[in-house]
Amino acid sequence: MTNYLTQISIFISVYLLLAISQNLVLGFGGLFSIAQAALYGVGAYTAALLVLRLHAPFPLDLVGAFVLSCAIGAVLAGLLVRLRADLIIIATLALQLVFSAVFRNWNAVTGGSYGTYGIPRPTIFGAPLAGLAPFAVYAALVALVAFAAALAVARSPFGLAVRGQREDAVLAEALGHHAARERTLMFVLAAGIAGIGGAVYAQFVGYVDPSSFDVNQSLSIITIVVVGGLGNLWGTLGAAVILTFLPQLLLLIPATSNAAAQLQLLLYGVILVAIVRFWPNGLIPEQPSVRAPRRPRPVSVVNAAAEAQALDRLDAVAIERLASPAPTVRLENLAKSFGGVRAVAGVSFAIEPGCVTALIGPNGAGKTTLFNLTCGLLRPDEGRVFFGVRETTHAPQYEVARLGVTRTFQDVRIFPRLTALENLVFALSTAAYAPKGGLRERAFATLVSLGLDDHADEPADRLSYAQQKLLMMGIVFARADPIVFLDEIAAGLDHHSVHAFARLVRRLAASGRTVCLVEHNLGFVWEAADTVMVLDAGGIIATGPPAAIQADARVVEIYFGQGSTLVRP
Amino acid sequence: MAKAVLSSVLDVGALHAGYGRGKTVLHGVDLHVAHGELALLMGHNGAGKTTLLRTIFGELRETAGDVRFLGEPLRGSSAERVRRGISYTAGGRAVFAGLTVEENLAIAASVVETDARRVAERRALVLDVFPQLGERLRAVAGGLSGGQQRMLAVSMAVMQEPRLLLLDEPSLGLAPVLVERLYRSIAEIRRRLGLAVLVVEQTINPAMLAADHVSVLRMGVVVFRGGEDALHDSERLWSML
Repeated sequence: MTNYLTQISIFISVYLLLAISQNLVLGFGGLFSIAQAALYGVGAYTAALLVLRLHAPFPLDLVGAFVLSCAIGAVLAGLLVRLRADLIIIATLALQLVFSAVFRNWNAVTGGSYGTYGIPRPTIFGAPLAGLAPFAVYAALVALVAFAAALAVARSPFGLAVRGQREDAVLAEALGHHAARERTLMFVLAAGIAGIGGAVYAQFVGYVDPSSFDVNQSLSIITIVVVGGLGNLWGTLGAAVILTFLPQLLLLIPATSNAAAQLQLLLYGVILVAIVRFWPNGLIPEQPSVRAPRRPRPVSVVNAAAEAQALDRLDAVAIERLASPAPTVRLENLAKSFGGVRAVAGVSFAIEPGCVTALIGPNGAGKTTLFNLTCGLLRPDEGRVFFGVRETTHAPQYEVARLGVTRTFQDVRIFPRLTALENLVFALSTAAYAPKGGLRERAFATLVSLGLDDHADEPADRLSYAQQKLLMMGIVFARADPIVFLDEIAAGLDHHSVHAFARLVRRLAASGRTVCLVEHNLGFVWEAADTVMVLDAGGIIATGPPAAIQADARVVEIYFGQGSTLVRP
Repeated sequence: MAKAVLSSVLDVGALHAGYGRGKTVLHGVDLHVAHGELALLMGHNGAGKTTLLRTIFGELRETAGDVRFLGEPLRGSSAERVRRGISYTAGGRAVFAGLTVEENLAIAASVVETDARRVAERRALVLDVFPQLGERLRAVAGGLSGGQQRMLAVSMAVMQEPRLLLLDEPSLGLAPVLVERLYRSIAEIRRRLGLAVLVVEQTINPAMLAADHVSVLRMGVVVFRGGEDALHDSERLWSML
């Protein structure tokens, strides 16, 4: 019985390694990979062949398995990270099948479907791990080291960056994160951990054959991770233990041999369905990587009055003057077509620092496209973009962001499943102009000034609409970038809040910053803008101070309609 | 009295609703919309406008008070309410982005009407009121401009042959000239189908003056109700928001 339990504990260690790998990729990184068993196999064969053919001493087999599975993981990541989520599932399934076929048929190396036999147990510091118990301790130690390392990664800024890109890769890049690279790194690290799992498995059972590394194995690892909780390593630990024990416990069910096997499978299935039905987020849901430095005050009732005035808090936020003026943003003859439709047709202008420039125009006039071209989300077909003397025409979003540019997106765009505090830490971690270090403290200070400190540890999607808008503006404040692009921030706000935003925009400009707006709320534009540019059908048809634009007959016709005087300034 | 009940489409009385314990948003709302009326409901952020629409539509359950539709108490799921004649257009781009304009319209209609001839009639009416959609029937909805998506969302609601149309901030994110056009179309639909419309807004656009009456919601209570005079006194309306 003891031997039996010891053996199970070794399998738990191996499964834990695999499940950690899967959770880093799927839970944290958001890549639905069905190919982790392939990487597990790579580790197992590598360790086996290093020992059998090259007589590599411990820990070279482990290191070799780690390195080679990382390398193969890097190649796979290169194929995968830019794919859409649903295509990643198909692609990894296909890759898993390819690896299985290679394991089964590359007879000279893997031993084909017969496998590779006679792998000796490792000798550690001269002591062979012949007994079951010492090996169990060794396996547990390897698994726990990997677990601790994964925990450290999950809590690091890198872990937060990976979760952020999972939520919204475009937003992550707009905030200066190289999302594809972060995702690749996470995939490579996870591949290495799966490889180590394979090596420990090979050392233990003494033979490797392709059936251990097939798609079914991938699916059972995914099961462990989903049951334990995506994005939570402690849940993975718990689920690895429970789900390895469960089939063994079910073996104890007395039944005639034939029926017993069926009954066990049936029960296993029922238990899994029950778990996902009643704990859809897994045994332990994802936890924030940073927490507020102090506990929230209890909020007993939603105070509608406070909610209505929430955006007044914008007035309380201090905006530091820029030491040197922001660079001028220049667009030269910018053009972009989508499938034959010229969305932006040769636009040139300069946005001067210390001014608020507003872009208005009918829906579909190309305003947001112009923002996207300027900030690097889209590449222009023609023309050039300059920030000061630096040309950014072909620079990706994250590079433009690191020059000191913050842009917001239409409506509310934040990371829904990161907490309010994490949203700000994420935005601050790549900020060019904010002081370095003390990320959590500065992020929390921003929340305090916005009156959101009691919600610091709440997922952003549980905040009210006004609070989410505040949080989005908190990102702008915290980064303190000299250039700010705001896309329809006044949409969905009552006029009281619109005035609060207008005052804010004026203060940003007064501090020496460059502010560019896209906006439909004309009251807001008249109150906030120094210069108004009217865009229609991809071209600028009028530029001037608000008063001149209001009087422009052509603008009135295509944009304002009959009774624009009623719109309150 | 009997006549008043008959001509009334929507009667909301002392309605309390919200998001669970301690998160009550509506604190006794009273609101009435009569047959063929365009009712405007305004209020600040967080006043409870969307909560009210969602409660009428059955997405949220009232904790006290009642909602009556055509004189009958309103119960059951949102789907049942659609079949009874209430359609709701949520804020934002409430369309199936991956389907074509034509498919979006067909799906909306299929919930309430299986008679192909009547669906075709209704479709012809919608395309008559929103000719821009007729030009793009085969286009994927996600590829339409923001204004066209809004028109499609309203059209989908109209395809369901409602007696009462609930619209959540249809003007959001639209150029002023488009807001005007959209409200003209809404007025046209109302005239031709004789349905009642309840629109929620928080900015005042001249196009909205076509409404029959306006109510102002503040902190979960209707604090003002007025007719044509109130609608034209925009200074006073602004001051209440």
